[in-house]
Amino acid sequence: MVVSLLAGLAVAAAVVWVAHHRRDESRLRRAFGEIVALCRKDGPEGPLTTAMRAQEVMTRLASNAVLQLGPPYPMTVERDELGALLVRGRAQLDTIAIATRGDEIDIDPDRQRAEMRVTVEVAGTQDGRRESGIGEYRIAWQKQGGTWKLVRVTHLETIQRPPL
Amino acid sequence: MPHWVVGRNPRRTVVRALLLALCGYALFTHVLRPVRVRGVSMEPTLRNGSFHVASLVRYARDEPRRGDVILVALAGRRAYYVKRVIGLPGETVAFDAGRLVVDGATLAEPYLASTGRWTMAPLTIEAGCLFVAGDNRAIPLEDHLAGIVRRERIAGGLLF
Repeated sequence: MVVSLLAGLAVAAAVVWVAHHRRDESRLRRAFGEIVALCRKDGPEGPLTTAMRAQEVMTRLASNAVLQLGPPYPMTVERDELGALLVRGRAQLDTIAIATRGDEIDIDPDRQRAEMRVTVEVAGTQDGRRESGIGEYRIAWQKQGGTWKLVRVTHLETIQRPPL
Repeated sequence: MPHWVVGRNPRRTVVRALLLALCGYALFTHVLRPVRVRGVSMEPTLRNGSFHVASLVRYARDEPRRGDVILVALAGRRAYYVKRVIGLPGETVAFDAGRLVVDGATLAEPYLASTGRWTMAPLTIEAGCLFVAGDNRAIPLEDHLAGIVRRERIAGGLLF
């Protein structure tokens, strides 16, 4: 009787833990999805819209966020520089399409930190010319005030190019 | 329900249908994977937009061999790089005006439509790694995603 009760409690605890874990996973995916949606550009936009979009992205980053986006961007971009980089990038491109092609999420036991590995496909057009690429990124997240904030983005070299 | 839909034994039909669905799910989740090619890095072997089937268990016991077309896994396992194995662990790979040189010897690449003009200094491949490249050597090497990939990133091989 006692064993059955303990087994039942253990199962219930496991179910609750999984439910919490899944909820954090879906919140993380939603947080990332919001950033991706803000980075997309469907057509011409005015400078005010560009600036507002960039500012919206910044609000989803932790105060100490650091980004290593990989070529052709600078080695490391700190949060303060990212705003200007976003504005410049959006202004140069006519359209920006971003899609997530799969992810893997690890959430710390304390559910305050998480790491996401995500495959992202980006396509942009400029003066009728289209370029696209797909890459893998490691994204570190931290929960601040109950909201997941992006702390670090690192471009992962899946295929390590030879020195040329 | 008509006899020709559920058969003479409806329960057996339902069980068989469920088993078939389960086998199909297992097959296309863990064994075979339909692949749609996006990009031109493997042309003319694999055309942009073409459909193929890959085996996710191709290298469960065997090691990739030179010339194999393999899948390099990206996060989430829904997207892959499709490349050809050019160099094996421990080998030294180089390109000399488009010619592949492995351990000092020039190797033929019969799958190429054109060798291009790639030039790359000798590069020794570590244990547990492979050198991969696409077949479209018309793309300059600096614009082509070719290089070293770790063995554990190889998710499977193209069947057809």
